[in-house]
Amino acid sequence: MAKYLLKRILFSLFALIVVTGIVMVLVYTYTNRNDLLKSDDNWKKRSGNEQKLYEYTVFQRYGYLEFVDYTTFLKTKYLETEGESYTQNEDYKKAKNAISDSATFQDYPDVAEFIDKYYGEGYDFVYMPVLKYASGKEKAGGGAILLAVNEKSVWNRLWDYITGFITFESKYDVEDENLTDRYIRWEDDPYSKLPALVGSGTKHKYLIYFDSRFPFIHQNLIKINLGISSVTYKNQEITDVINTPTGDMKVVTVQYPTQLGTDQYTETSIDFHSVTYNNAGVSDSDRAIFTDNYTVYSYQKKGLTMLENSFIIGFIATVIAYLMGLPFGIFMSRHKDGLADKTGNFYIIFMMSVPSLAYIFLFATIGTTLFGFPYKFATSTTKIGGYILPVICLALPGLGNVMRWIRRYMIDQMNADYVKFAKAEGLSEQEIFSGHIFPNAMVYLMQGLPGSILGCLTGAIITERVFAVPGVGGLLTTAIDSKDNGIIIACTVFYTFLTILSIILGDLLLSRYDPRVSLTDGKGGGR
Amino acid sequence: MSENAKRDVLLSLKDVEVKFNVRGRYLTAIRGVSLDIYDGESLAIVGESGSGKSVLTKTFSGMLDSNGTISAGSITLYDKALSDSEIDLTNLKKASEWQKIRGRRIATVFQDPMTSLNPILTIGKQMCMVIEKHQRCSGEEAKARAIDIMRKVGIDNPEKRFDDYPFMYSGGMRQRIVIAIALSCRPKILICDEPTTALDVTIQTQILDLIKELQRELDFTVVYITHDLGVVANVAERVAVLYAGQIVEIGTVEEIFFDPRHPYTWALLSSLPQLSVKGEDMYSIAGTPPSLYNKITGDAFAPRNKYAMAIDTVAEPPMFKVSETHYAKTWLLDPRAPKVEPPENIRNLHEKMLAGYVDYSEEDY
Repeated sequence: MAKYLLKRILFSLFALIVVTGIVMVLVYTYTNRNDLLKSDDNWKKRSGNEQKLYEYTVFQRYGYLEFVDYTTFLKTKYLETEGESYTQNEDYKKAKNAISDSATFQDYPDVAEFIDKYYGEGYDFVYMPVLKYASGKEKAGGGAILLAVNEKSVWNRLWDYITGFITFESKYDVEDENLTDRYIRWEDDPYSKLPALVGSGTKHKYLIYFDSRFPFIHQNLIKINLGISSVTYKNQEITDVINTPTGDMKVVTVQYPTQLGTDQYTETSIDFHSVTYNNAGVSDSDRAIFTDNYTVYSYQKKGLTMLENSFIIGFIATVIAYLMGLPFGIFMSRHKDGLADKTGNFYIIFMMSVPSLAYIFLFATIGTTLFGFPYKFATSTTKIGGYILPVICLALPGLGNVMRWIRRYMIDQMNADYVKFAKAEGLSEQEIFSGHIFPNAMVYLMQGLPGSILGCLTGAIITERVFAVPGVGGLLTTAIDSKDNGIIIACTVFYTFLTILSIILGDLLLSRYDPRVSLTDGKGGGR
Repeated sequence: MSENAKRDVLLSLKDVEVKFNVRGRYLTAIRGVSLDIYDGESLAIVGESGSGKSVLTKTFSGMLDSNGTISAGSITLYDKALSDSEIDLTNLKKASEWQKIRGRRIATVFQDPMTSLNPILTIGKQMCMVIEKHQRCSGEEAKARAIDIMRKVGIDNPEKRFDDYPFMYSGGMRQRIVIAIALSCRPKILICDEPTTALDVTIQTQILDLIKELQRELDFTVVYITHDLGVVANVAERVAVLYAGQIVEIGTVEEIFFDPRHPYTWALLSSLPQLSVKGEDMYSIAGTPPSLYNKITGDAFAPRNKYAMAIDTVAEPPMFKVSETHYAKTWLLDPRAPKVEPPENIRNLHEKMLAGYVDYSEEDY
């Protein structure tokens, strides 16, 4: 079985890569990227070479290409000259103006260096000469521009995505010659009062730590890079987007690292577990808080993450659907064509035929007017209030679905020969239903069980939108709307992963449950 | 078989009539059947499809489909072991009352062993479910009994195979298990509803021999339902021939095979494939059985009967007594009827049967 599973996992990885590749091709080659500019006011305002440059900025933001401006190159180069700002530097000014002359600019040493550097990295070069009126006056936005542009091929993009998908922190991650003491070790964490795996030279300071937030143990050691949002969540990692609490800042009274050992406390929202290494030089204000160079922090927020919101609602709804749907469906099958069966069938057909938007609003109206449940998620004054209506709206169709299938499979099995035989041997109806029919009917539902639970992680688009639940349900649709390519790809990879995992877990569960199914290749029980 | 007279009657059917409500119309599947089943005998009920063989046995196992009712007659089960030694099975209405009869007094083995067992429960679990239900014993004791009976039906290494699932067994082995489950509560009557139809020919004899052997050892009555006259000749002591919901002839196996009196029995025997001559068409009975939705006047077999007389279309023949054990329902036995000889090909049936019938049991056991 282990061998079979390994094979399945390898196949799954292959499938995941193929799907990612297909989506990348679709997103980056089959959409017209110039559409991005049409509604962009900043683009309309600009003209000439400046407008062109802006186009490259936009394309870079959406992930179509990477480019380096010659001017930016010069800035980094002359920044290193100590003592004066690069704007005052004569060499910088000279180098910057060198590209204005379209005939000789390539011979200028800085330009040659720029071209050499990026040519080696596979970049192409775009040169836009100065735009002038006939009078010799420079047009608006007509200054000369030299760019090194790297239009990524899909293969490169896919390769970069796959190779960068999982990263591990190591103590050699930080490039800083002054940092000599590099280690990863267990230390006492002053914030949780528990041990924590602390690194020096790693990107994050706290690699494994405990805190009061579910699931209480956290890690920064391994990172999954799903991609970066280019539009909706400006340049945030998508894993961070769905895993960061959505509420307001949480103010807690703690000691700054500089205050540890004293009796001073400060009210702050800084999450000291989140600190990463600061390469750019620690400011004086940060120096007052931190004792080392790990000074880049994020804030603690209240509430749950998008993923948690979606999962909690979906999971509770699924549990309710199964806990109620199974007994209801079984009851219906036992009293087939009776009043209960007819009522149940009416309910099932109602849930199947009425569009979800319609019954969601129906339930929302009934819930708010008759029972006074809060309508919008955020307006709930109690902790669980906001969950009630979304859970009901997800549980009721799920309930209908479970009832429908368990009833159908129970009735299928009721006519099986082994039921007739069990009856002929004197077993009671109750014994036959619970001992023979139900276990066999569950064979068909077992495989889908992991899928219906893991599926909660993808969120519910309509329900979440109607009740304004900050969940992951609308992530993909919003991303497609706003051409947020990073999120589109991330969502596809995440959903594909969940689907593949669901199928594998479903098969595993089925093979545990049904003795006829064995997860092996070839001989030894049919698949 | 004169010893039948000495045997006790175990089950007595008197004028049993079964009706089915089929979308508002009534179908009379059994039309006044009277039959005594004796303790320890092997009775075969034969007839073509739709003749009511299965329905007849379902009346005394309480397995009639929900649209079927016993509309007339009585079925009495005699059992000295019961507190009230006579039970009229037609009076049993509650499911709980039937559960005391089924499995414990009357058990059934069905045609297809492949589907008779629950595919996802172990053999042991399925046996113990029935044993625990009827014998009120603990898990360990039930297991011991189950293993004991598994050994009796010829399962090698039953302790090891106890926890196997049905799919790990061959068809023949599964039918042995089905028989084991059916016999696990020592029923007085075992109904075998075409027990070998779904099995490989080589296995068929083994299973029939097994049932015979167990019958000798455990002393129960077997009612075979079959349309395979080869099986009948092999296992039955008495044969009842059913046509259109009535017993048309009943007698010992010798009487039915060597001295049949009813034209339908003649036709049935003539259609034995063993009797066909190479190069000639095999015999088949012309026409189809009458529709049981309508009231049948006269002899139900008359339209297909080449020996039919005028009276056959007017009046239903009574059961004529041929011998103490042999009865036939045909006007041909009336003293006024012309003398009719059975067809040529079924005379000397005994020799022909022996020539065509290969006994596999000696080879494969």
